[in-house]
Amino acid sequence: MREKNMVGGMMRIGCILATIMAVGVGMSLLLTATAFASQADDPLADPFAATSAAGRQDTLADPLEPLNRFFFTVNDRLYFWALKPVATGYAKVVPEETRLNFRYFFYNLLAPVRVISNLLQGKIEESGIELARFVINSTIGIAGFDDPAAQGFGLHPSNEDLGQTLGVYGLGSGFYICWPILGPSTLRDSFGMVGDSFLNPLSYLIGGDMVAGGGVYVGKEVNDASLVLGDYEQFTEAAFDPYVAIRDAYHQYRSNQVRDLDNARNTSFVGEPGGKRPPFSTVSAQ
Amino acid sequence: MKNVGMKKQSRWLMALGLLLLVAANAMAARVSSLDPMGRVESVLNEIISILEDKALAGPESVDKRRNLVIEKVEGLFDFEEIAMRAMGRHWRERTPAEKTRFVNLFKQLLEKTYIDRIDTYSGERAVFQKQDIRGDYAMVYTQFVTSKNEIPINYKLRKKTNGWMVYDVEIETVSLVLNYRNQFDSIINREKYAGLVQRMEEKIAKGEPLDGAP
Repeated sequence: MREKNMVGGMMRIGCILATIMAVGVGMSLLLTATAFASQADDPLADPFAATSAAGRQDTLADPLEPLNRFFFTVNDRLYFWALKPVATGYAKVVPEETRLNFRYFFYNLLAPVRVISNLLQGKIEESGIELARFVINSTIGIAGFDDPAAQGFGLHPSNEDLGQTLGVYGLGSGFYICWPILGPSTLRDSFGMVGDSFLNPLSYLIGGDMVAGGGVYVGKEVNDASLVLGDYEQFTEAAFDPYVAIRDAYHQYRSNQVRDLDNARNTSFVGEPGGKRPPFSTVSAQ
Repeated sequence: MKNVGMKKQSRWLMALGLLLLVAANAMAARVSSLDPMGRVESVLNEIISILEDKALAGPESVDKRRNLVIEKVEGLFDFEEIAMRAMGRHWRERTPAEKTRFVNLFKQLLEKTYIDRIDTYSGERAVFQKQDIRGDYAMVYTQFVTSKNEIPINYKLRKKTNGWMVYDVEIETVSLVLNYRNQFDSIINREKYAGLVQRMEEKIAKGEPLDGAP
């Protein structure tokens, strides 16, 4: 009798469970069906949009647009009138190999930014790798002029900065700012840049000796630009409104950096005159 | 008389049947059975072999080479879908005639802008990394390797009747379609659709980049 009751009770529980499960399955089927239906209905559906690009609704405010457009034009002229001719001449004189070495050198100098930013984002392992990279490249890599850490030890960089760190903490972009000379940024990334500058040895050099520091800064910019000549031109030529194209590319790129879509496949921002492209050798890592 | 009619009819039917058969065969031949990654890879390889063809290398065959490349590109890129997606929410407001005109203008401009790039080709290679297929959609991850840089380029494809076709390209995680959509949005908001078409026509006529100023 008791047994029967127990069985009956279990059966009842089983029934209830089955009902719950059936309702659950039914609902999930319904949800899947509606999801499929809405995807089929929406001609703009893109299953890769959420994970691979800034969302459709994710727009960047631009209350300073007139001023930003002015500085965009200034930077554009500066590129075509000064940076590009100098970088082109420089590229003719200095072999590519040497220019790549200089890019490694400047990239290595910024290791403190990456060590600290990774740490602040809780990426302990990446932070350690950045530290190890800095030690290896500054010694075996002869003051950072080469990247044996990646080539010999398989230690690849994690491109983080304080702007991204603030983004990871949940701080929004704020609004778009196009700085003279420095180029595209946002309110958040500008705060990040100020923080980064405290971790950048170059800013202490500029602080100590304006002329020497400024000279090194210009040298770095020219060297970087010489390795990406043509990218900026092609990007702006393909645009119907180059200002908006660069603003959006910057926004998409930074949003994806905050989501760490870039670190699996190291990237850098093209929409910047002489774009700051770090040196990488990621093919072997894939 | 009736008999002749029947005969005529049956001959006509046979001819139609034959025609359909031939058409079906031709269709089948054009439908690509390759998977997304295989498809992008095969078309890129075909383009590279055109660019490396010594018979086409001279300055006298620039146009011929360009046309061959464009033909290959049009077999892989679904310009109608790209244009529709780039137009975004404004697409539905357009008449069929406007849509056709817009697709045509956009295609011309994209080809015109990017085709110059092939003349500077110097042995760069694409490294194919992986593909992610989700139903009728897929993403192919590649790395474009030059002596100076490695640029991640991802192709988004959609399964169409004639095989997988590209509807968006991401360069360094930046979606081309989204980038154009933002530009079109901004221009249409300021200058209406007519203003956008005017800009496109002027750009094709001039063959020069537009100024950043509105």
